[in-house]
Amino acid sequence: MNWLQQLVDAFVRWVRRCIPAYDPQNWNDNDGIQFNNNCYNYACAIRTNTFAQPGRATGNMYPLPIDCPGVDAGARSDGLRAIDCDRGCGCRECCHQVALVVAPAGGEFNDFHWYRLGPDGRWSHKPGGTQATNLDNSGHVITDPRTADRGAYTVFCGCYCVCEGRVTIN
Amino acid sequence: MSEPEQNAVVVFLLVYSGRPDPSWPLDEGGIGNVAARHADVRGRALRVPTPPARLGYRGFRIENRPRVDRLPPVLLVGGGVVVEATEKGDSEAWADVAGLESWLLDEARSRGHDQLLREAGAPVRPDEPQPA
Repeated sequence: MNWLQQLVDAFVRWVRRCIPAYDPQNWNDNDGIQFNNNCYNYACAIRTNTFAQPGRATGNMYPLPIDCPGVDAGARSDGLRAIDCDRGCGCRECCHQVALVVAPAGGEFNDFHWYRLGPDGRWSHKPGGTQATNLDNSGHVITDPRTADRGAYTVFCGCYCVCEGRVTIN
Repeated sequence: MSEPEQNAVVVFLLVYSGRPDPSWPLDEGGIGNVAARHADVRGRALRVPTPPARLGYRGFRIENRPRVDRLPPVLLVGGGVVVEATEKGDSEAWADVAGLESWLLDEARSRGHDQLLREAGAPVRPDEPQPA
């Protein structure tokens, strides 16, 4: 391996140091950690044990019914930064990428959900108080949450960066 | 969490991902029903794999907050499987041969969650395959 390749690899490792790996063992305890941390906790990689809600930590809880603008405002208030999904978070800060989807109002089922991008380019998520997984509703590995089987969460809202020391959730 | 649920055996309907799930306390009759079905499952069912996590309807979690003797601290019921967390931090799963999920689905419907269950993809009967 030549020095240029080594330099590139070192740079990639340096950028990826900020991206949380898929770590279901840290969440799936069939007990308090799993039950009290939801998709927003998992996506932000922050355990609060409070079933965190976008905007609650910063006094801007999303309103009901749940829609993209409402959750977006709450998430931005908590410190998440909206980005183009195809451009990523860059490497100026220590950040990882997450994505927001919504099950739209219209009936009884109305909710939000978050995914997070891992260092291997694949996505994972944690459906509520159940286990974290890297599979979609069809059992496929998630390479892009825009095209994954999301069940009733049919509205794709957008992507965000979660940057170290800049996000507060509760 | 309402005050009556603070020190009760509480059922959570596992449907949402972001917002809190609906929940209700079990009365004595309900506790007895769950305990009997749980004992039946443990006594005669085969161990099975835990169902995979998914969005939408996933089943129920029963939290035994007052530590009633007849029940484990936590039971997960869904996908035709009953899962009990062990004190070692592992979990054991059995086939739901006692109709516990079916009974909980009827309970949820009787509490006004019928439309929510349908929209979340819950089976009419638990032994029916869930929609992909």
